[in-house]
Amino acid sequence: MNRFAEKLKRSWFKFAESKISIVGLVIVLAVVLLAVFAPLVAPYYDHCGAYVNFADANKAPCSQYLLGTDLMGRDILSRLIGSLRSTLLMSVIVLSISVPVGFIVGSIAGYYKGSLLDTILMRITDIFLSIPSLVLAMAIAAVLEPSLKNSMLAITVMWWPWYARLAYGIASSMKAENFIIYAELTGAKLPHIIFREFLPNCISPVLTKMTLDVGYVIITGASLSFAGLGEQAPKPALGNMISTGIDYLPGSWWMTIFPAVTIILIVLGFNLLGDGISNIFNMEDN
Amino acid sequence: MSSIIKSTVKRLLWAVVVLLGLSVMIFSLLRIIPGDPARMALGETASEEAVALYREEMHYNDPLPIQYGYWLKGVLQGDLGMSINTKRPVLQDVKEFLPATLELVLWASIPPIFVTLFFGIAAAMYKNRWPDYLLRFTGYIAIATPSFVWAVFLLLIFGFWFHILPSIGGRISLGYQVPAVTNLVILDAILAGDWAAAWDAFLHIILPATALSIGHVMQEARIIRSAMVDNSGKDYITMITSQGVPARVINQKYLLRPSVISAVSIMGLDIAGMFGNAFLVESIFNWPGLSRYALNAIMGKDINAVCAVVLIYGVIFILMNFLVDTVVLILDPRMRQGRSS
Amino acid sequence: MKRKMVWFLAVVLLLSCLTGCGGGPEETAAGTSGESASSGGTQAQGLVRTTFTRMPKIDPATGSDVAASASILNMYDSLVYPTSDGNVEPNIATEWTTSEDGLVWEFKIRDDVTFHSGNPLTAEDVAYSMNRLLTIGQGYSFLFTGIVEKAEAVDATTFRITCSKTYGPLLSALVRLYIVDSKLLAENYESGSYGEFGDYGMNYLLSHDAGSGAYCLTEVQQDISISGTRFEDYWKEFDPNSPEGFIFYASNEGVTVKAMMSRQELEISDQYQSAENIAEIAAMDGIEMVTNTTGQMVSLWVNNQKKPTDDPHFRKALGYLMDYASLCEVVLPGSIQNNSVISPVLLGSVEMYDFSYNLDKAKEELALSKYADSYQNEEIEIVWDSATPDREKVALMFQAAAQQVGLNVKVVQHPWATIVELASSVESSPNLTVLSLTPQCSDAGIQLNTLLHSGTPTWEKMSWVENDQIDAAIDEALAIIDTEERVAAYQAIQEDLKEICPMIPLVQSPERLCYQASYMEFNPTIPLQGYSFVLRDMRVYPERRAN
Repeated sequence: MNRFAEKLKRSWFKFAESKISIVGLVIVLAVVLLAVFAPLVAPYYDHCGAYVNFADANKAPCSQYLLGTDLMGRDILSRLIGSLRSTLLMSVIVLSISVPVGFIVGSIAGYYKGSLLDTILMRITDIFLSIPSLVLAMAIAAVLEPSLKNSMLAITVMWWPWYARLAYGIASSMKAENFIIYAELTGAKLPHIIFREFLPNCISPVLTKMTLDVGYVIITGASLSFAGLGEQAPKPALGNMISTGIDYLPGSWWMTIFPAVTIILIVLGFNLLGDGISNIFNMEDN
Repeated sequence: MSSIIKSTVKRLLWAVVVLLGLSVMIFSLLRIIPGDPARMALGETASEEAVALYREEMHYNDPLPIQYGYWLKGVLQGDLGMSINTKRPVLQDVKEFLPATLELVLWASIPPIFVTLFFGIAAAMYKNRWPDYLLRFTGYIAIATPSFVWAVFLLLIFGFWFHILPSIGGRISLGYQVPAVTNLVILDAILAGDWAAAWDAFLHIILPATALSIGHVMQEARIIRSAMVDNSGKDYITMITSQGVPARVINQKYLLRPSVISAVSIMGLDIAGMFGNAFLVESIFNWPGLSRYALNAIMGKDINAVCAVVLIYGVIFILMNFLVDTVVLILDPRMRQGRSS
Repeated sequence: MKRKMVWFLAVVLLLSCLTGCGGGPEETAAGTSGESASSGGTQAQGLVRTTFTRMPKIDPATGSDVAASASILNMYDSLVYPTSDGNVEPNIATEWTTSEDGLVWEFKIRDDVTFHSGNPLTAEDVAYSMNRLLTIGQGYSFLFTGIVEKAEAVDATTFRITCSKTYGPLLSALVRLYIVDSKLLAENYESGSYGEFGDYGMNYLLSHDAGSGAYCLTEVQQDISISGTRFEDYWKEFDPNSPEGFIFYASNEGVTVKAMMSRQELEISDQYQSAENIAEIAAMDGIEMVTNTTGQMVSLWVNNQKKPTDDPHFRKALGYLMDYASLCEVVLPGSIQNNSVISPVLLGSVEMYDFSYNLDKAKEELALSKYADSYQNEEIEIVWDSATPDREKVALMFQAAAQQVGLNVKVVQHPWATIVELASSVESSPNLTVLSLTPQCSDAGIQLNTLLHSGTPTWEKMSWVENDQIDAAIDEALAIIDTEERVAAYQAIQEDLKEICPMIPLVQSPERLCYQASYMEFNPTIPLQGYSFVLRDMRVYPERRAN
């Protein structure tokens, strides 16, 4: 226990070495708290649902509506806060599905490197990697009915191959190591080798990639939502708010600028945090 | 040398397999959509007979594998099918729209290389001084900003608030006639000696190209900076410096080159990825390119058009990977030796 | 070492400046300030440029939406021409006669009209155009399918239509018979599915015109624009200040339209701009707004066969969930509430409903419906066309009101092509769709028919009334040649429809078009879809332009 605490302390020290990681941590914490307590924090949480009030439509930022209102008279600040949940949920779900899938596919292919199975699995992976992910994600999201769930599915489909490749690289280089051969000799089954031998060695690079990927998932999700393929009205979504607002530039700039800044802040927060976390792992590697 | 050729041929063959797989995937994905492409193709007032006739003509009544067979046969003969949206052969649409996207991506990838180098080197040189901090700070923000958000910012700032760059309405102003040679407007205008047209077209491309490239530039500049900083602390640099090798040689040969190599492979992927980001940037700037066309096609479930664009981008992506490997091979003597031995 | 580095940096900087992308915004800013105003150029002087929501179909046998009819009517001549009071006047046909039984119509065709190709226009071309339209079966063919049995040229100047049944609105429908150059098309047939006619020239007409109209097509840029110039040999006189040419753009993003209007790069802005944007554009210097009461109505198409909108009381309840006052004042300014399923400008339209925003009445009707106990559990989908931002407001407004009576409404946006496709079957048609409809022809019966008759092929019937009695009544009414009697029959049908409540009419909204009043005159009056854009009737004064 003491050793664990010691390790944690050292990790924190390494993390906090770069002040900017702390900034990231603060942003992320703030975003998460806002998302969790959105109904309490948002000044007009009902504006995130079926609500219209044309009397207050298209208002510039003022004391009543700090960030202005949109064309339906909905408070933009409330809608920004209300959109955080689905934004965070998206990266959590996409990564928590695509990482295990990618890891398993990659390590199986790596373990059987050179076999037919390896060829098939890795060529399938290559197919997904042979096209810009946004292109295919959009095609998938459009084929399915546009919704938050389907946009998550589309991004997940495009995301796992990267982890498959990462795991494949590690697994295929490890498979000839002595400890794997010993494990095989003692009759270890495939699941044992994957989860007991490969997994511990993959954790550090996979986690590093994951922390940096959170931001990318958010950007990709926002891009889909911008094209109208994400969360549907009247629920708020950052990309969608921007694409609606563009038509009202430059007059009603608040409809576009504030959601844009929100995306940047969230992604920035996760990227900074990610850098800090990868510092910790780099320390362990050294 | 022959091993290089051998491995290249092998990779090419695999690339074909991957493209085939990609086509099967996208084809079946699009054909399982519930709905009636024939009805969409003929429009709001078409009679049942007209729709039935069209369905028969387009083989929509056949089972999926047979439809794929027809489609593949067409593709191999250079026929990508008819577009539902435009009612024209998809190939014709591609010929018309691809050059604009290529031009955009070219301008978003090649000139910014110099900017990348400049920023990267400057930051490395002034490590932990203000240029470095400035780069790191702006870099963090630039990378966190999706390209469509850049597009919105640039549109607002330069198209509206300062109104100094054309922000709407395509590749060139009305009234310029540029003879089409390469279909890359700026190049064509220069070839024709029409400098005014070239300048005008250049002004049109600045905002969309900047929106596409800005995040990548900062990302790669950061990679170059950290690679240079890492390398400069390495023992071999200390050693050759002490041996009296001129600083210029050290900088170019031993610091910059290896640092650039690590950026090049990222650059390749980024350039290919721009074709995806171009989807939104083109539609924001009304850029008449293939990505805007594809976005319309995706939204309108224009099956043949989507298949074609996905395949074309797949080919470009794979070619890009080849190119990157070749460039790395040229830049990196270790790889050269490793491959040929 | 540092000094060498600086030197190296300088070279890189120089290189990046040479390639033109080095210094970022400041550098480019300095270079452009003088240049940006030049866009527009001299060639744009006499042009009328406007925007539509999509690429117009310019083949008279395939196009039928606003963009298409606006394009086609300028490039082609129709057999007869609509007037602003809802009648028709001679055009290519100078006079016409009807047989005793009302089945055979003969038209005298002008002999002084030439096509853009130089070919003379004859009765052969008219017959060919009708047959081509019927064979291809798209566009405006629905106006004639099942009615016109035979279209033929008796001689060079006589065109004869034989109907399979009497059809009162035939003349109004012939406004949509646009005449194509049969010889030119015959020279341009490609292989296709129409036997001896090959592809009937459809491919050719994607990028060319074959008309005799006031304007000739010069360029088609797919998904971007079509453009054309004045046809100087037109058989009618041109005013010297008629537009020299036109560009119709195929997209109408609000931000683009606003910027182009403010820079005089666009003469007319489209009616699909949001209320906010129209207000902003109308307030610009030198720009004014004109309204044309084309009879455009915005309604809720209600799927009469799908749960839970298959119950008439349920449908009526929906009529009380719309805030008509906000609709007419804020969302679609200038509109007036519509109380009939058909457009109120049409002769024979009667007040069918007295809907108002009244949640109690909605609840009463819900209680009368067969879903009285279960409507809270049903989800109703409301669809709007993604090219028309104001309709989202209508949908969201409805959703918010519905929520208050416990109805669960889902708002969905689709592009037009998808809506058309959904409309093709009763299963896929959504519960509710907010759409607008402008009369294609001035006869009320045609609209009743396309909206409510189970036998019509267009998207307009996506309410799926499927009622044999109504079908029979419409058929009977349409067969009446005498206008007064026919109108009375139309009114009787609407009376019968009150109980069924097949769709929810919302408002009649005029087309609100902003135009560059400082250098053009624009005064559209013909109340038919597309006829706001008769270029020949517009006037442009390039010398009055600011720059």
